[in-house]
Amino acid sequence: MRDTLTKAAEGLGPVRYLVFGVAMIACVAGLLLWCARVEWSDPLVAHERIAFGGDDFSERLGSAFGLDGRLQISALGAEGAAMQTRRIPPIRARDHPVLRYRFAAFPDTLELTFVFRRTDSADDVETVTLPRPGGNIASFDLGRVPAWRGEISEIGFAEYPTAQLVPRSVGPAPFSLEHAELWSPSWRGGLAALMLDWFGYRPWGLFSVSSVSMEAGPHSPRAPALVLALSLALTAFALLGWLLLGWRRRRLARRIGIALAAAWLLLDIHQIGELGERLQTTRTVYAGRTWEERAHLVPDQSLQAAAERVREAMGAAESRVHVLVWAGSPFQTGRLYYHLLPLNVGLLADAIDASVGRDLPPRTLIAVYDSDWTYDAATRRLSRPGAALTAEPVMRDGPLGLYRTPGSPL
Amino acid sequence: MSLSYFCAWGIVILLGSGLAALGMGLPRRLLDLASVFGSGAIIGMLTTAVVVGLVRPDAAREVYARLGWWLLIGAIAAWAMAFRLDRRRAAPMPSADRPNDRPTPAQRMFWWALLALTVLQMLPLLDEVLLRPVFPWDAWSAWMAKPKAWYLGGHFDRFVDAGTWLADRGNALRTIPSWYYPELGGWLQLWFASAAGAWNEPLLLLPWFVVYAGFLLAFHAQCRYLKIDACAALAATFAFASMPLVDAHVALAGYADLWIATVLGLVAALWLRWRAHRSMRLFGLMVLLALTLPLLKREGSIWLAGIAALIVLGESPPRWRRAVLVVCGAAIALAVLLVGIGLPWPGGNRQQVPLDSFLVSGLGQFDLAWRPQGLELVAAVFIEGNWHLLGFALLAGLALRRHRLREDADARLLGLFLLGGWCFLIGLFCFTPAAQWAEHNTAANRLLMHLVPCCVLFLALLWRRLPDAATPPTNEPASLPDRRARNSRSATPT
Repeated sequence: MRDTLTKAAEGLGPVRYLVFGVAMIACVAGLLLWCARVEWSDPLVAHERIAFGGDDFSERLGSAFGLDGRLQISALGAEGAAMQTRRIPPIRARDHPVLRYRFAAFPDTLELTFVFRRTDSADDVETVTLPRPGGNIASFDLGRVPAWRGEISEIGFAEYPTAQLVPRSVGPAPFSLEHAELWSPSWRGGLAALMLDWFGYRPWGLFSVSSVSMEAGPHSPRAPALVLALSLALTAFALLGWLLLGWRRRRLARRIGIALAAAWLLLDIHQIGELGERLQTTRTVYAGRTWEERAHLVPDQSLQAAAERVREAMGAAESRVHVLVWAGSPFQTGRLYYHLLPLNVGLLADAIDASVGRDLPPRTLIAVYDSDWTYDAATRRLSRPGAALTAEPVMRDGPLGLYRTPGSPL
Repeated sequence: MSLSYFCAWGIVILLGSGLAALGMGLPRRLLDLASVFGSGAIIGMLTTAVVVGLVRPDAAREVYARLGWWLLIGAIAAWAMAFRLDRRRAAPMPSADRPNDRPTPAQRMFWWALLALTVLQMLPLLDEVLLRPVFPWDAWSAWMAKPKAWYLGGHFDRFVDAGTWLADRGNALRTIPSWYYPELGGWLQLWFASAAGAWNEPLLLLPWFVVYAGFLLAFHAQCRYLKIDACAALAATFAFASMPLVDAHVALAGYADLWIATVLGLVAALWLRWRAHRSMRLFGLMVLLALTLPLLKREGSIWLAGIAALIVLGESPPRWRRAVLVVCGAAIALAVLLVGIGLPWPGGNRQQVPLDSFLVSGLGQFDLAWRPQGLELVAAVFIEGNWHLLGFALLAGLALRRHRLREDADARLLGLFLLGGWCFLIGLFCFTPAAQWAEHNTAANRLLMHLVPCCVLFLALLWRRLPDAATPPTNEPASLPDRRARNSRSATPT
């Protein structure tokens, strides 16, 4: 088969190079369309466009006002977030899968989320994390979002300090929502969304050390990775060269080596750009500050403050006491443990497992934060579903509760 | 940054480079400098940490003050010994270049462009490390919690399980869910914290950048010593430097995986060098480095066992190799089982590896089950952007250069090691509950990172030109006994 094809290609003479070029272009185009979820039958440009000016949206959280067709967002709300929404006559999600949006001066410390409501679940708000918009129009393929189905009755945007990366105390400069559009399927819309997916900025995340494809978080479905597309294109390059141009081992290895190096360089240039953008966010938060200042600019400042209150409450007794911590999530528990060091800290969950039904030993403090533990003064029991401990309250401050086992020095 | 913090770095690098010079010979050219100081930075940090962990002075804040002078004396002694041994050498080190290895202007330009890109890659990473407090999850929940407790608490307290801790009323024990993790990284951070005089996280995370930069220097030099072309050697170095997950582990420092990856890569390269030159000093350096693997992270013991098995295999006569393979496989399996039932661990405390989830009642029942989601680890190499195009490069390299595996014993042996490593990872993720790590994209890619430098070295070996018969086989003089042995061989009539 291969020899037949190669002989047929050799019969074409120099035209085979043209055939090779056309076949490569067709392969790359096919790959792009597959990655962009664009069908051959889709029009080049969107037939239907629903456009909104920035000032068509109303602020739900934070401070914003309309100005010359834009919505100027001047401050985040008390919850640490801003949100702008707009009710719309119900539209079919399937018919408008491409979101186009443009913000001006979007701060690099904020994360942008698209929010929407469906008519079949009017009480639920769905969220999608978007790549950060640059100065130009950004596109996102909502068709990849499982919840983008049925009929949509409200859309909007939410902005907040990047989760687990930027402290809430770092206030953003004012920025504006210029306009947003929902497009019907098209080559242009799909390919623009693919480009932003591949080359758009995404901040560091807790997943960044485990998988770069997951660092956008679970609320941001991704297109097939650029690496996969390049690998397939390189495979096509090798196969076509082998079949049409008769490349054999040595020449094939050299050609593949050069193409691989070029593709790797392309990936790396993007990688360097992304590192630079991520560094810019870090610099915005931390640059020009002493370590003492930076040490307090952690994304979980409330946990850090809670740890400080525990330390103050313990006073001189701290070196003689075991402190057990429990918080509303594994992240909060781990962070509270870390902030409380060098106190002699342990996890309450581990201690309960280890003490199997016995009361905790004396000289033990229990710090609970943002959790479902409740205290009954009448029975002197600190309890949650499935666990109860004999304890006395030491202090209560917002989400933080501090208790001691009988016989503790405090 | 205080003066003592700079001095602490000076001692570490002087000590490490002294030990590297002792093992590799005194540096005479730029390439030797890269080799000695690049690997020296890593060796120095590991040696310092081992010394801190062995001495364990109870006054944890005075680690630097108490051990600094001794380490400085050790560094000077290492350099003095390296000079002394080097003076005995009859000839200076020959160049790593092949005789007809003159790069063309295009190759020179490519080399400089790669170097510029590599430096460009490193600058934002350095800035990121120096600015940010500790960020990734396991860094603050496991790896940095112990040194923070030691330094700020002022005592080198032992970490134990929660039950033992609760029963202890003396307050000399501490607990953490990861109490059994090896502590080498923590010992190093204690050294730098005591030198800085403060718990300053960026200064304690700087070693991650240094291990990255040091490895790039050392890796490039080792590639050149292994007769890989200048451009190919730098391309391999750049390939590793540019991988997104590697960069993430530098910028968001705190995990031990980058250390395992770089030390394992360096050990593999030194071992291949040793195969060519048979210098006992080089072998000693390689063994010392390899022994730190289990002290860095538990998985390091697997790689140590693998590389030890490979050394034995490489030194076995060809007709014994099959038997050696079987014995090594059985020994590794036994080691894994013994670890699985919980043996005292060097550098840490008693611990159970996750493998015991299928080791019920000693060595009795094995809950082995096929878990296809473990294959996501393999798929991730091709469909996720963690390693750029490494997956494609490996496939293409094996397809187009497989004949090199017959011709080049180095490539064949390293390939065997990688095959074993991949089999271990696939077995781990497809047959044990660790499959969830692959499915949820948590630890799987990090474990794979341990093998990535060796994969890059393997690819570079597939593309190297084998030395001609006329080319002298060494790029450095053999040690005296070796030279005598060679002289006596050449004097023997044939």
